[in-house]
Amino acid sequence: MSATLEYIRTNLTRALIAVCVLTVLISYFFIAPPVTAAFTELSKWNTNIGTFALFTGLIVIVIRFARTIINRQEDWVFCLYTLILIGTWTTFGIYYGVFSDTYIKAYYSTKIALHAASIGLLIFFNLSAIYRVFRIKNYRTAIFSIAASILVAANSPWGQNLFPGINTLGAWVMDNLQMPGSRTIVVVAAIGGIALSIRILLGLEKGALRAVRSGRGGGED
Amino acid sequence: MVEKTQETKKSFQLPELRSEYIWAVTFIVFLIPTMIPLGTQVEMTPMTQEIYNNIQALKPGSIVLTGGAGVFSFMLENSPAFIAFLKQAARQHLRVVQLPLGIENVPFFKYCLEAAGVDESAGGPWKYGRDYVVLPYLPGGDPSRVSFLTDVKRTVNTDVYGTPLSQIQLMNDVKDAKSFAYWADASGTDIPSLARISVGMFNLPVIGFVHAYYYGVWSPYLTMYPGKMWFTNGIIGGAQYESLMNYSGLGHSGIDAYQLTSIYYFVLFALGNITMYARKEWKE
Repeated sequence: MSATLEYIRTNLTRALIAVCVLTVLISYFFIAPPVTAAFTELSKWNTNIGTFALFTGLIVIVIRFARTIINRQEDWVFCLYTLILIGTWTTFGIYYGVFSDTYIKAYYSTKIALHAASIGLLIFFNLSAIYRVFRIKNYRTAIFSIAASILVAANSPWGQNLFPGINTLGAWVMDNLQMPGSRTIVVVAAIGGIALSIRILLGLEKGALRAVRSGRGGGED
Repeated sequence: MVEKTQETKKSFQLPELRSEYIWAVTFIVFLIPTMIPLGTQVEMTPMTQEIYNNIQALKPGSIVLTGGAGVFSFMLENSPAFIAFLKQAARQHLRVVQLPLGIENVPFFKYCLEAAGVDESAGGPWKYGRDYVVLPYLPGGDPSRVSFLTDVKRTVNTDVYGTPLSQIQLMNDVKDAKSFAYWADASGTDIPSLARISVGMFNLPVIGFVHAYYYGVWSPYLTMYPGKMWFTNGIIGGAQYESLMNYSGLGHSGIDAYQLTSIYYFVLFALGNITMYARKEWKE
């Protein structure tokens, strides 16, 4: 790649990121009608890019899997199976329409039935795990097991009838024991997101969009 | 002699249950309520009652935006409450715009619509285009949501059948976030986005018919936006909503199964601990 093209590619991505991020931030925190209009327009572009990305993804999968099948690489049978399914469902959806009775019936009868069955199997493993794991060996396992048991009883009508206050106790566990933990995760993830955004804006996150020049480390050409 | 005593002691140890036995009983526990409905009565929680009251308080003709993302099979847990909500919305002569933000939200809505029996084809009061509209899958994540709530018709041009929105009666009354009374989300996975965008940016209150797992994960948002966000709690939330609508459906079937399974849970919990302590005492 020529130096000029490389310069453009590196700085264009940075400029795009800076414009998009600043537009969103300014429109969120300040009253600035022109910036808000730009933000609204960028949001629509995002939707279009999202739609376009679906087709790109489809093309990439077909090319990659076709290569695997032709070269008889590992697991090529599964790639073939995937391509047959993609082809069948795409044709089916285009011909009948994704909200048609025929398409939906086929969808329920195959994908949903199988997926629901696989999720339903979890209860067998869960109950087996409860027998083996929920053993009160020390105070930590006691807290873990008792907190789980309170919620199981609180969510079941027999528990509510047998222990009238269990519902309130369950709500207390959720609101006072569980919520601080959840909130911590949410807040920490948000702070991490802010830190990452600042790094991208400052060009420190070198992997993002490969916005680095070759030879300066961090990215691939 | 010592070896012989140890051998004798070992033979008296409480055996560990094999997983196959646990699974066999689990299967029976699940089978019983499908054959003999238990008719379990559920206790109402203030949150579910509040959601019901909020919907009940809406004027006829009000528009509720429904939809969300997520995986259909996971959302089966959310469906009892969402189906009951659709029944209530039809009874109250509300109107619904369905916005799928996940590809599986399109068939999920049809499943719930058919189960609710509110469409005129099923003898219900709702007519497509007049009382409810289903939009096509909208990709793009959060910015698409912002774009939709800012300007509906510049973001989406047609419904799921490809009919231009200008030709659909209901869509004449839809412009932006202010056109909707609530965002009723049936996915549960969308709550952070809904909190940030729907409530935070557009002041559009959110009702979530969420999976029991997500109820715990997203509960911090309830305190963040009090009076703006409400959730039902998984299957039991669905059964509660069904009770408010005076019928017994998927939620009650689910809670019948849960009723027995939760008893079985405590049996296994006790057995596991008895086995452990019996062995421990024997060793001591």
